Amino acid sequence: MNEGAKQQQKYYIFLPSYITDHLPLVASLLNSLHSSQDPTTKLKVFDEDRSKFYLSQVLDALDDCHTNNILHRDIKPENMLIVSNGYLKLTDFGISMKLENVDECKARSGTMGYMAPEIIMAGCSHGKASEWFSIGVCTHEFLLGLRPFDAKKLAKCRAGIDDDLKAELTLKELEKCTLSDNAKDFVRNLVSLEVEGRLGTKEGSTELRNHAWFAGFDFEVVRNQTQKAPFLPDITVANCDTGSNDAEEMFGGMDDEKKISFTPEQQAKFNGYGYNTEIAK
Amino acid sequence: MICASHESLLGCQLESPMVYSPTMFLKIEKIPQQTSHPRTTTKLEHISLKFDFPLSNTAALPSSYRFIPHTHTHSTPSATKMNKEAIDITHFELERIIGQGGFGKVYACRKKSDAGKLSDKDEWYAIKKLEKDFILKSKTGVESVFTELNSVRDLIHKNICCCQYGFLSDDAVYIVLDIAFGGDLRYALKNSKKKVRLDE
Repeated sequence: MNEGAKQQQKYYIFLPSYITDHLPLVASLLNSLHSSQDPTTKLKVFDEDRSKFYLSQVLDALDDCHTNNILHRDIKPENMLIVSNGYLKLTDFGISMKLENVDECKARSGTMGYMAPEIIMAGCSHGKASEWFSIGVCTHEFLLGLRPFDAKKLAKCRAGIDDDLKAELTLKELEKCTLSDNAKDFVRNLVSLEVEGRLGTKEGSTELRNHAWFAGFDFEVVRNQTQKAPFLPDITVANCDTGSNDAEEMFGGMDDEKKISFTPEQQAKFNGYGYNTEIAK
Repeated sequence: MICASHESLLGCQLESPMVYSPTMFLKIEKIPQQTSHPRTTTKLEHISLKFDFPLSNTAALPSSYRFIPHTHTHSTPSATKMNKEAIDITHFELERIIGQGGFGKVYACRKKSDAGKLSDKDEWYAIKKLEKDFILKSKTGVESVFTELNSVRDLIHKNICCCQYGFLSDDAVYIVLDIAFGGDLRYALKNSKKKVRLDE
């Protein structure tokens, strides 16, 4: 409640124009200063049950993608949305890909920090196993409040994984934390740098569901959405950081009509775009 | 591309989406499930939500409701015929920004069931506005816009923000998705009450 009150407080600061002209930049700088990870600060996390609740649903969603031969390729907390009843929906298929096209695609896409080493590695194709890596990163983040690997260090995988790099990419937070051994084992096996031996490589999501950490977890109850979710969002507020929670400011940004005209060639690139679920039925 | 065939269908006459009232839910419950379609099988579990959440009776409803009345459209006097030559942005009332992506903003919107007019019963959607300006500036922009639509329209699952519509305007590409009012897990994590200290 105190936290809520703090968020409501407003500060008015008058800044010179050389700062206000670059406000987004300044804001992101301040933000990064503020959130820089000091090991003594407390990190915000989900408890193990809440994490399992969310993860089980992500696994269900991913299974549906995979049976439709689609790789999501951008699994991260930002793309998991909470609906009014507290359950989860996976979103943002902007860089998803049909499984059969994966080999043609040599471009690395995804979000650094969540991307599996085999995607970062040049000329290496990826598959479902890469998604389990991202799931592991998310689990680590849910349970400990931060990602297992520093994105910059992980990016070094580009040149291949040698012993030096392995020594750099250790799971020090995970090993010394007070989580259950099963939780540690689950995360450790998912964020394995090599595809071989990674949880899920052999039998897909069933392997994850059958892990000891999920022992006693009722997937069916979550699937039926009969149980009350561990957290119910307040849907009367915006629930996002779009710069401001102020409704007026949010509306203000809606009608920024900038008239840009496109050439017929440019417009033609979008030909054929359209879908109507009522007709598709 | 499959979209082309959809486009040719866009000109046909359709019943407009139904307007829902609590009494109608009782009717829905009695309808035997004619398909094992995930959208139709999940519908009943959400009904109680209508009364659980104060903000909007429509917000908590899954889009699945829209599909049910096809079996008994004749029994609804409120359903008006609307010529949907093509669905476009004028069919939606943008309410507020709920997110921001690389190509544009995501808005919470309501689909006007009655041409031009808005009522409390209109359904909520998330509408993703992708600016053509930004798309064309990105090397893989156009491709990714099509990829997203092609992927997401094949997916029908209650844990996925399913695609309802996709259409173009002069300066933007729109994709209409199931809405989630609760924010993303990054935001939820940031606002979580549970904390751990790592140096112990």
